[in-house]
Amino acid sequence: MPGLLDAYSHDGAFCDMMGGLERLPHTSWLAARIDGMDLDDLRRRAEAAERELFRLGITFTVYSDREAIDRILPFDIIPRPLSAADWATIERGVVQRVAALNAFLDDVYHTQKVLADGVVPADLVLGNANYRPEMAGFEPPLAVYSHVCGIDIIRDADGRFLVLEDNARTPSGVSYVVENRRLMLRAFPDLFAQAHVRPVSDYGLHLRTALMELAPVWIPDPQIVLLTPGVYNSAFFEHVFLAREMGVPLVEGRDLFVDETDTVYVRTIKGPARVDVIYRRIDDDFLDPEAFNPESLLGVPGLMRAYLKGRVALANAPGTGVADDKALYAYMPRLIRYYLDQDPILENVDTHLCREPAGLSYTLANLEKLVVKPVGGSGGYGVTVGPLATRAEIERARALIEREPAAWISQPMISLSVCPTLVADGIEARRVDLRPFAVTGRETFVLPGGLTRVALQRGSIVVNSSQGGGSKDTWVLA
Amino acid sequence: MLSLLSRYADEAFWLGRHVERAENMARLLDVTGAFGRDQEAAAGDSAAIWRQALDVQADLERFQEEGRTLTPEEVIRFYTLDGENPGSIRACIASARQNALQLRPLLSVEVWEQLNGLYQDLTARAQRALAPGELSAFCSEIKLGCQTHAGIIEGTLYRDEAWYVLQIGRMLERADMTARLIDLRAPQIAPKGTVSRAPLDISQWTGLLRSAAGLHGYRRVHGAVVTPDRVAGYLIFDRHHARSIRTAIETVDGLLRELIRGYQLPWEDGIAAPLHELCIDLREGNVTTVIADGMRAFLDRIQQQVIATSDGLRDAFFATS
Repeated sequence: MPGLLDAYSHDGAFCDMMGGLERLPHTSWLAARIDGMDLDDLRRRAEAAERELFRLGITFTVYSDREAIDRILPFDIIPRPLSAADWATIERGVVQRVAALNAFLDDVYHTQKVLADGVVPADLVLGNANYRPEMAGFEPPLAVYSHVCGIDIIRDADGRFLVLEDNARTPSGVSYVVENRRLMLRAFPDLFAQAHVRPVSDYGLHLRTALMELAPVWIPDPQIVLLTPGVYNSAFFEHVFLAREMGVPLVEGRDLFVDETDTVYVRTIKGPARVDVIYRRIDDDFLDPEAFNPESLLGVPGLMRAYLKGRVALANAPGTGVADDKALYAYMPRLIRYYLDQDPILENVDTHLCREPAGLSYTLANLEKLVVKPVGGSGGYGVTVGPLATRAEIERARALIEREPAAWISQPMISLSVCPTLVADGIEARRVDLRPFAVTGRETFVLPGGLTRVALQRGSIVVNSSQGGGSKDTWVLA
Repeated sequence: MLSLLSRYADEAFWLGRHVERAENMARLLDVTGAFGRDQEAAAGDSAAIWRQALDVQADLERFQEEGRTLTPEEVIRFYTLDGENPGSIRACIASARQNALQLRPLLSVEVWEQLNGLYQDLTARAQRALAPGELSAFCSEIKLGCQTHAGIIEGTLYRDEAWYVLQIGRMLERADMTARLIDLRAPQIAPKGTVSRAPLDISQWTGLLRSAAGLHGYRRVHGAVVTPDRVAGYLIFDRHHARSIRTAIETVDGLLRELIRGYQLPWEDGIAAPLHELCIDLREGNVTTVIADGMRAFLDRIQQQVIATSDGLRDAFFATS
């Protein structure tokens, strides 16, 4: 009988299952098992898993005209394996990166030594829309700003891990990591018996523990809540999921109020109850109409007042966005050296800053070879992939960059690693990235694995869920 | 442990009411449809029957103001799949689903899955009008859907304050609907000797029992003889009938007491006292006295009490600002 992977080819890309030029020893058994599977059986298991996802309501919402459609993030049933050694590198690299991010934020909102020393241009920080002057001089609990941080990592043709992006504000996607694993355990109980995969089911416990550590020590049983923008937010189901995993109430802004003693309360049928820690999944702008966007109906008037007096803890801290800007990203390796006196464990992708003359001229001269990104964007919007773009698209990107150089960066096109993926014609190689999640209280915990996003279109490198990406279960092998 | 959030209490209350309302509407339409077919066979016209359905819901004026024509098809559409009428079955289920969406952190996956499924089916169904012959099957599906929901709630919902509030909402809605159904036939049970007593059609009274799922129970109590007074008495006072006003109000009264005591909520005498008074009257009263004193006034009192309890709960416990 022919094997499912007989015709599998991953050209020049590094494959997380097969390796590069040499086979990977830690996954050979897994590749062999998948090779020996029956395609119809595999499809049946995949369909059952996707039905289950929908049934559980692990969906994101897409709005069109008047209808709200719940869609699942397409789930690919073939796991993406990582060796214990690879994971050790990623884990140490993420911990290091989060430490540098938090040190940078602490500096920016206090002495601003990094600006005085000229390591980062002052205007990049102080002129950033996400810089919050209100935070200047404030001491957040444990001196942590980014309690939940998602670091987007890719793997190049040599199998080297590179950081593509930092998500230090309110990264989402961790619910898929936990749910994907539950689905896989159900779909392939036999594989897990052999695999010794590091578990991910205790994320809620770790998050809850870190949030508890933010409350003042004299409060014996702090009340934590998760603050959501509400049912119309595309990540609402993740908010429900995390609230349930942690066993804390899911609240909206209108459930909370701040009294004249700057204490935050949640309205219950028994009367107001004090709130000590808020894991907020609302952007800074909408958090408090008194402090930020006065039009916001989602937030809580007076919340910043309460926060700055130390009456309530917020995770993540306001003003964290100044650290995860795509322009600031380019300085991260320097910041790691500056604050930690260490070499970066995970390198950046080479980044050309169009705000700098050299970066601008290089970018404009090489648009056909480069990936051009807006510094403030997210979700893959506004990105031009030079090698795949039409003439007109390149010229449009050129015009935009020339109009406002500081709003753009460019990077070489990286040949993302691939992983065997179940598609219409069988099993083919598809590009993947990885978003590990780090939770920081007294210490930083990195959930083993993270969200593997997969570009389901052949040849595509865009893994964003808003643009046809799916997800895989990430297996950190013991 | 933190008490139930006021907003969740509000959503749970209305989840209970909306699903119950959808079920009651299906019951009313099913019986009206069956009765309308009999009427057409006998007299060739069922418009009067359907006008009564609008009367029960106090919708006649609105229906006419919106320029709708009083045909069976139009009334059926108005109450089943109409997207504009907030009282249609489709709108009730859509509202219930919205309540459940907000309540997701407290509900089991099964509750959400089933209610969301019911909503999706109805949305798909609304693409085309319901043919007259499909009404009965449609109503059966809705009834089953609502009962399944109630069953999953019973079997899976954590029995904290949210469970109490949901059941209170459900039972208040039930009391309200049973009162409306009796009210429709009230002209036929004016006190004896008064000229206003309308001509009697006994099949209307069996239909009434059927719409309140009470025909079998009634026969066990009263045998085969159906009289208006006995039917009204049964639907108001029978303590064993699941949908009698007494059962519903007593359940609300009991649940409210347990909720307030068990969770040490601030006792709201303004809500609890008049409700408990009504409870005692339902326990001790009888249909002869009610008819003598005026059925309409009595049913008004029920409906006013439902509104007062609902408003009182909202102001005391559910208000979010």
